[in-house]
Amino acid sequence: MQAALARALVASDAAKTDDSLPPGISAEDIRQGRRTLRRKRLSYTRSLLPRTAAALGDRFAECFLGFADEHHYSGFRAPLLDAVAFSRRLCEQPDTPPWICESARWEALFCRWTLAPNLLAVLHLKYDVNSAMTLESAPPKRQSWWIAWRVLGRGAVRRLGG
Amino acid sequence: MVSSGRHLEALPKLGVGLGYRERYRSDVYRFRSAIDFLEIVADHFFDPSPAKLQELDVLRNHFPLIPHALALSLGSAEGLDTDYLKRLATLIERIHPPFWSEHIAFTKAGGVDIGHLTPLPKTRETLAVLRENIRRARDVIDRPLILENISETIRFSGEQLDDATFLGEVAEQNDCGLLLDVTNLYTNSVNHRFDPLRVLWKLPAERIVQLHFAGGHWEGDRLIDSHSDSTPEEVWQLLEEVLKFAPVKAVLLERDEHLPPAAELVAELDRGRRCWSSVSDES
Repeated sequence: MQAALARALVASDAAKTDDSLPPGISAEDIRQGRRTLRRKRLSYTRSLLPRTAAALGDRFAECFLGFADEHHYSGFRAPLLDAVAFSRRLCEQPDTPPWICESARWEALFCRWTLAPNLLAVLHLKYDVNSAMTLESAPPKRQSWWIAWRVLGRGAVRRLGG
Repeated sequence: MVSSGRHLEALPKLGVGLGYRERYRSDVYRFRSAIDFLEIVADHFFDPSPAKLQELDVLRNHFPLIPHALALSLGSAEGLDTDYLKRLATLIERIHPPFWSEHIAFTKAGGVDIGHLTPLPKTRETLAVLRENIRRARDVIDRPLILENISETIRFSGEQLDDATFLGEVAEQNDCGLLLDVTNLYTNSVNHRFDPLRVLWKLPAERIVQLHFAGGHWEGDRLIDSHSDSTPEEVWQLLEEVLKFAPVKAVLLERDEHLPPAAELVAELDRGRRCWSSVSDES
């Protein structure tokens, strides 16, 4: 029963799982459980990508919930994996403004840094992603290069120049 | 097995605390006098970076810390996640808390990690699963365990025990304390239409060690325990009833969404403290 319930809660296609629910459980309860789970993931991701979320406004939730339907990560690192994969998804969307894409990549870099036992990444930014921005208005242009490294749990995110 | 729970009486009285979130990293020191203890989400300190370890050590030097686990999955019929258990034991070993807490729920089954606390059917079979998993957890973690009631989005038909009997049996059979989440009790009472006081008064009062309180939000006609708002009046009233009923050691405010300035949380902590004092003065 638990396995069927777990599968139903993380399933991307609600209609399909309604037919295979364990006996004694209502489809409406499962739908509510699924909404609660997606909402919790949204909240975690928002906290990991705060500037991107602020810049996107309501569109952040809209985009994330679409993404969450197709992806489900396991384990205590799942929120970080969600944030990294979602930032990638945002950048793939042609209507994401370049400064928001940069902001997402910048914030995801810290998630990747936390996730990885070993990491070497170089990031080139054209905008000052730590300044105020919105969906419509870009932050000031300020070119910079960053390097993130981590070996055996030790490392840093440093500005190289620009 | 029914046991006395006398070891719970010896637990220290911690006072009124806050669920630690990174956003309040500096505020907890700024408002040190308003916060008696902190509850940390154990999962946030698994596989810590050196900076995270340093953060943990600084916190430990300033506050009593209670580790709160989210995904040991004590209710999993297929057994515990041993990797998670090992990480949790390492953390508990590092901070030596007076007790630790987990939920009466499952989060993993059939190779799926749900990532959310999922309710268990209140049956004798579930009690047996919990007994076995708690025994295995205790083989590794030698600290008092307190167990939390969750907000139940799913109800099962054909349950053998009512809410209070189930919670009481879990605590008695495993000689554990209870972490009574007052908001969850209230939320379940609203969504599943029962009187929360009738449940409260059937619980083993001497086993209620800690309380959680928070505010949620409405989705249609359902109340959601999202820790997203300030504590509603109904929960304050229920909290007061619990404090009159049980020799509580610790009361804790949780907030996970729409994080307000720390001063707002401190105001809630102050109200919690006043609530507790007024009840103590009466008795």
